[in-house]
Amino acid sequence: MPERRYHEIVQQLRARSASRSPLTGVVATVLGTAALTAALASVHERVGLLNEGLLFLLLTLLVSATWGREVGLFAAVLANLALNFFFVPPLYRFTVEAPANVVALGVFLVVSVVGSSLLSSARRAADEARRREAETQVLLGLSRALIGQTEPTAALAALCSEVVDAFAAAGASVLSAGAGGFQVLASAGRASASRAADAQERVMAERAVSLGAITRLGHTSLSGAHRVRVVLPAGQRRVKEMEDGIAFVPLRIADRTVGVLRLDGPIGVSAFREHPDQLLTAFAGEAALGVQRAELSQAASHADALKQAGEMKTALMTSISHDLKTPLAGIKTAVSSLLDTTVRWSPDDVNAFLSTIDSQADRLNRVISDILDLNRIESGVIAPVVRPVDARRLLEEADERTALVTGDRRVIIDSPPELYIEADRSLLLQALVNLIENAAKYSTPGGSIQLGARAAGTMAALTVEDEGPGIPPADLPHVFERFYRAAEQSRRVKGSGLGLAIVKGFVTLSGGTVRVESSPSATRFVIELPLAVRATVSA
Amino acid sequence: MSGARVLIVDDEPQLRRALKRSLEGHGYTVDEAEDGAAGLAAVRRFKPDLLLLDLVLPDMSGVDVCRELRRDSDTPIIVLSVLGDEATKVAALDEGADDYLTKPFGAGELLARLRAALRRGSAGGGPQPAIVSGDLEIDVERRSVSIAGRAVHLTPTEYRVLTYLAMHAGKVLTHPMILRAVWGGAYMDDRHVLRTYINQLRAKLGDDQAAPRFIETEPGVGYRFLTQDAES
Repeated sequence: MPERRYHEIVQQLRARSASRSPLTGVVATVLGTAALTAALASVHERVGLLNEGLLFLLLTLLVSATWGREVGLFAAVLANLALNFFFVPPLYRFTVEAPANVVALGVFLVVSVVGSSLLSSARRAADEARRREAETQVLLGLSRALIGQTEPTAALAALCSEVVDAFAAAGASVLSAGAGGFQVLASAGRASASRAADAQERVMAERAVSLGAITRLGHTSLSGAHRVRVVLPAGQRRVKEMEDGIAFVPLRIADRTVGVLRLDGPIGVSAFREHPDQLLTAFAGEAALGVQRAELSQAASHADALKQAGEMKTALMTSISHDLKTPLAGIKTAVSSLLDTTVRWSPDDVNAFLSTIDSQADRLNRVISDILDLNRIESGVIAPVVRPVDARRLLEEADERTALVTGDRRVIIDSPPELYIEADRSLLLQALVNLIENAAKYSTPGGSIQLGARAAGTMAALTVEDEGPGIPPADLPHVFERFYRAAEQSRRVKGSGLGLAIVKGFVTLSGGTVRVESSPSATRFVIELPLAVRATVSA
Repeated sequence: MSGARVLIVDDEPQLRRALKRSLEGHGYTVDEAEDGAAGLAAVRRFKPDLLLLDLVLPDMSGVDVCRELRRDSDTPIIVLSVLGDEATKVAALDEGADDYLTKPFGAGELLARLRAALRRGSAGGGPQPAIVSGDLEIDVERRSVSIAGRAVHLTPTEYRVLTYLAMHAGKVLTHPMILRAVWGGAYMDDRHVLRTYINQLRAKLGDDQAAPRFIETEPGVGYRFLTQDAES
């Protein structure tokens, strides 16, 4: 069912209820009676009393169909008097000569009263049906609005906006009643609907919670006088009473009150104004469920965060112990062997033990540097100095620094001269060194490594590309995470698992971005930085 | 037991190299393998008397290597692990590894463990009439236990726990292994029952948990019955 439908019904009922005040009905009745009397007066002789009576009856019935029983009764009496005075002989007197006419007037009165009663109750029934239908539409609209919302607070916001529509209220908000007092979970309508509950509002919300009934804050509500009025035990709720004030509807699930629905006045002219209970109950029920969902999801995400932090810590500890203890194991074995006096080690043995100690101490140093680097990045103590940097010379220096690691791999540098980028030179150099070391570690032995620099618009791209087996697509989004190693490589290549996290940290600090592209035959890391205005520069 | 053949399975070349040199210096014949598959192949080819097995290997877990090897071999296995590998370590012991060493370890500690495991390996199976460790004597046939000739009265369960440990002297026995052997599979998670019995045994044997002569606690893993040599 299209969304428009129920708004139309609401509008229509609003319009009808506005045009149907009893005063309008009385005025219309008087005017209608006068007009009919005037019209019939000129043709009285030809029409005859019976037809005149029927026409007045018709008028009475129309009035009661439109304005209800009371106005209908008034119309019946007025029509009876008009008929008597203007049309029943003797004319222009409230006396009746012929006994038959006395009976006729009596019958007219009875018929018009009964008819108007019947009609007005039929009208009430029709209005009631109409209202029910509109309510159903509202609730359907509500459930439609909620059904697509997987996120609890989004669902509550949708609910608030339905409340604002249905009651033509200035604003609506859902407040949770937690340990920390009332907190706004969602709102709709005026911007002020999202305000935090002030002291008075908290009092009223608490009363709503403790009474289990709607309470309201009177006209002078928001600031100023403490004209706080608690309205009504449960049976007598009437939204009508909160014209300009703020109403608080308790939200209950089983025996627990989870929050309140705050409805800001003025409540516009609305079809539901007079009979808000059923709709409000439905809204409050949905809102209560929404609050509960929000609570649960908050608790769940909190638990998730704790669990993740715990897992992260475990992963960190495991990784650090491996990375630190593995080189230490080599050192300890070599040293304790050297210290073992029961064996006469040959000079060759001694050399081998010492070189193990040397290389493993270097390795330990690298791991510790990585951990410290990452710690520096994360604690924000690095103050980058961004200046124009000669890209080609930077790549050449990165190549020189990694000569030991790249070994027999061919390193090709492809960069135009005089390409300057805005960066922190030392951070960017360290990032490039890490990327080249990474390429050397993961690529096929003997394959080449290409370092490139290229300008594109106002940006420059530095690339490090290897001829490795590539990174599986599933791993690509995670390669810059700490301790993440592509599944297939996790066992084959040893490293701290921090290298790429550090690259990202350094590049970001240097004002750039880094991303990775991979195919089954190559992996390419791309660092993007702004181009420098080159003229006055030396790197 | 110099001259024994030791196979090192570890993916760290530097550690392998240092271990190899150190062991060769003590007269062992050493071969090395860098991953699980190569290790299993080397077992067939090299026929080692003992395996030093890293738990984290590039191609498979050390636990899988243990399981694979135990199908047709009793070769003693000492697993090498770093802190944080507790679960894997216990799994490896459950799969038949004999002992473990936590990295980093000294050459002296390694050699002591090697000797203990090799001695156990060469002792062979078969029922023993009596188990003697220091002044403790367990007469298996008569089901009696004595310390320095004085009889110690044990309940049947205490006796079963003690003999199970003593028959695997020097080897780390995990909680589940002992529980399964003594109580049966249904009690495999009941560690505090085991702890109670071990405490009773220690009290009756006059053993001090802090400086054990007979039963040593391997924290988080299980227990080890000390052989005299391992003590000295």
